[in-house]
Amino acid sequence: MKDSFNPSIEPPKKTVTLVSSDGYDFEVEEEVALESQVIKDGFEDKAVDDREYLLFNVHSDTLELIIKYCEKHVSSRKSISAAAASSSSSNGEEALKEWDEHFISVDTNTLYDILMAADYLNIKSLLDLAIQKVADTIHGRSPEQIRKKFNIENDSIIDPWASE
Amino acid sequence: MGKWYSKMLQRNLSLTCFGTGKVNDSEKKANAKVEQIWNNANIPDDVLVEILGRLPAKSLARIKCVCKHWWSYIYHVNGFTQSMMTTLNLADEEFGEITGPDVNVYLLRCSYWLRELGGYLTLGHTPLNERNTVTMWGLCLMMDGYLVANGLLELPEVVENWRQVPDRREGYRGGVQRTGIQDGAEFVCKDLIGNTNLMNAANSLPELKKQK
Repeated sequence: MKDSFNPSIEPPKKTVTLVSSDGYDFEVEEEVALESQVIKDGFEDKAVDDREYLLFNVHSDTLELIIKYCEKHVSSRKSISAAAASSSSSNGEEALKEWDEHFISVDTNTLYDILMAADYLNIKSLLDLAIQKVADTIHGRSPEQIRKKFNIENDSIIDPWASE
Repeated sequence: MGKWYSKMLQRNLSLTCFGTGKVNDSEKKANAKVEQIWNNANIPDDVLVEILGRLPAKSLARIKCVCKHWWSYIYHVNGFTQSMMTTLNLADEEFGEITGPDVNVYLLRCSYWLRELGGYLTLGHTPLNERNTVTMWGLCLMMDGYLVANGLLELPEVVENWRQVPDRREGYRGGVQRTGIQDGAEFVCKDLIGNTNLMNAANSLPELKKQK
């Protein structure tokens, strides 16, 4: 395939298979998968026909969201750089921010899954987004509200002078 | 087995305790309500530190009693701050030598925490005595002065807090004298956020009520 000299025929897009913890296969484009630092790290060492990644800690529901996020970011990065190249003004970054905000507006359990998956796959921007969302959720709430929101058991012993 | 795979496996092993034990969708939804996934060790340390680091001091002071694990983090940070302050105290004329954006940001954060959590600060397990507390407040103000002078501190609320500090201290000193409690005497009290604490007279704020 790489011997193809005909420029009109696009080379087939390289894909990577991601397998979720519950056994679903997700075929994604290479550059989408490379958003994850963990996948990127050992990517070159892996044979082209063996690019399958078993994500033990990521459920298919979460993986779907993560892939959606990565695809959006790859495509919007492309369009932003294209807009910059043609020196036309665009509000691509703002639109992306808005999209991010909408994307992360999920219930706390899903947010937890996204946070864990982003940490596991080491996707910096998504991890940052999720952490900021958690911080925002905590900010301005009373301990009781936080416990209720995040379903945290109250085991607090506020006694700073008690020895371990 | 490739390098990548073993790396992933390694990472997975260290993360196994974080999984929510997903089996299938319906089961997951059914369990979602009862599962305490945000509790304690479910959040990796670095992520938790990131989250807490992004909160302003006021929120930190309020949420430190959410659960033991979170508290231990905030407390730990405080202990670290305290030791740092002691170090600074020894070289208080040398503020000029503290350089680099990271240190400045850290100092800024410390000064916020110290001001907000001053009533609870301890040196190891020993409550601060009066002298230490005074030194600490002094250092806070000095640090603020340093940061303002270097254009690193521009928040108007700092000035507000600044004025509150002497008021608070005066008030508490009066309170201690009125009730006749010696400095260093311990008593149980309710703190600002309603938790019952074993407090030290030297550390109590005027708002704290004595319950002998």
